[in-house]
Amino acid sequence: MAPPADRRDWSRREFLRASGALIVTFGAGAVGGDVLSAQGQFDTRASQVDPGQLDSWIAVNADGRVTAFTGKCELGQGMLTAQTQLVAEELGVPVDRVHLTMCDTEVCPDQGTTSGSQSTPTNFNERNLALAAATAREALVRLGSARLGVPATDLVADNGFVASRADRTKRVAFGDLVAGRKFSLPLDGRAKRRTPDTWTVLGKPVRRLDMPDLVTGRAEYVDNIRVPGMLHGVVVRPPTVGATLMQVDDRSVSGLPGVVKVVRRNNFVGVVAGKPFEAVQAARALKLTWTPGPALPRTRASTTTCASSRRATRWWSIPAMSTRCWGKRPTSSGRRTSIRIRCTARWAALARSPMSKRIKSPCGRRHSPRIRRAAASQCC
Amino acid sequence: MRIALTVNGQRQTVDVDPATPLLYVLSDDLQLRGPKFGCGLGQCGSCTVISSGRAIRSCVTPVNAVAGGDVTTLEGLGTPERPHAIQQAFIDQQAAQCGFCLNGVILTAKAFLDERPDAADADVQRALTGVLCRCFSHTRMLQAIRQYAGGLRRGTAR
Repeated sequence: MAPPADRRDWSRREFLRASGALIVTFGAGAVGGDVLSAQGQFDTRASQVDPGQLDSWIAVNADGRVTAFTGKCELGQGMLTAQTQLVAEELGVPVDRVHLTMCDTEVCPDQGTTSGSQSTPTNFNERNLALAAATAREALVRLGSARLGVPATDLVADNGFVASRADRTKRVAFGDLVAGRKFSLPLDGRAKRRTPDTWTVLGKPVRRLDMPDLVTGRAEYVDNIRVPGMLHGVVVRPPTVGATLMQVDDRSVSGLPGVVKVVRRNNFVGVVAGKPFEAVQAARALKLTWTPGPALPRTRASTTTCASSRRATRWWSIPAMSTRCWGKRPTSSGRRTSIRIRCTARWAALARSPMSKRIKSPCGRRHSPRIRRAAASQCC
Repeated sequence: MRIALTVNGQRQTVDVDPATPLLYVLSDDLQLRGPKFGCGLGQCGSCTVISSGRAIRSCVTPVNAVAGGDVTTLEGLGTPERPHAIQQAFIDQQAAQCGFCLNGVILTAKAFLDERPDAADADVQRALTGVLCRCFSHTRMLQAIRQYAGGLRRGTAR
């Protein structure tokens, strides 16, 4: 009934400590208004990583390699590559010297959801990652000015160096300027972005940086995430929509390997086990008593039409889908043969994000198992 | 029950219920990331592995069915530093978006073309009908597969 000892030995915190992850103190309360003025679902917000501080976004290593952090996630949009280009462009370093860490909630700024095509504007426009890179570049130029004894206006940041515009051999590497220290600066809302006419990295084709990992099975997806002490749960769905859970027979799974717990909360029931397939087996074996739930609506076999879908919608009492169609011949003269159809279609947006644990229905769309059961004949 | 199998050229022994789907053994006991759980019903192809030269669906194959046999996953073809010819073709053609289905696409195409390197495009497409790609990267994937098939015919890919 307990997970194997080796999986209990590590807590997440210990794991992070041992793996050298940066633990940032809580300091978000002091963040200035500029960065956090907007609070939509795509916006950057306070977390244990202070988005108002440059060090939360950019780190320049002593060897000149750059690590950048963003709360937006690569999901196949190519964003890892595009935003690595952004940092390289704004900072003035080659693309292959930038490592972008995405969506590690321990070390990256909280940038809300990754959706709605908002992640590029969020990081490319005037705030966030682009502003951080521009702030870092201007800070490096100031440091270079002091080091080289050349006014900042006569310096350029290029190819990982701050160099004199007049004499490019007069230069100092980013790594030497920062020497592994932090910037300890706030984001500067007035830091100047590079203008498109000066771009050398952005706007140029770059191959997807993650492609070699994708094609060789090295990329990590949500399903691959394993942390020490991690358990796996499977939800047991009711056999019909509207069924109520009456009884859970815990003993039906008590002897099964790996089972840790049966969880019941109101009408929700699930099984937790050490390994994923142990949870699947326990979920299958768990004896539950459900009320029958309401009967399925009658469907005329030959006319699974828009109308029946509409009825089904009401019956589910969830806005799953409905279509109302009506057609009419425009004239009775016989000249026009086309039929004009007006159609109102509503479709409940089912997040396609989790690629797993969904079941294909006969219509070819992915529905959750619960909807699939109810929808078998008239889902689309 | 202890079950022996050769995975990506390495002999492995796992102690599991023999009815455990091969996919769970590969992901949880052997920590492989190539085969993915997509539908769990053998319908989408993302869990594909190659066994005895055939592309099979590991989510509906009990581990017992491949006991003593060989299994090749996407990891077993090549590495990011030294990709297999078909993986290189996918890199060359930039033939993926999210990459979740790549495992099934690449292994299904490889098993099919290794058997029939002269197959026509239509046959390749038919062989891949049961492998779903939600991102709609099909056109680039077919270009990559064509590139690999061309290499096979010229003898430059293996």
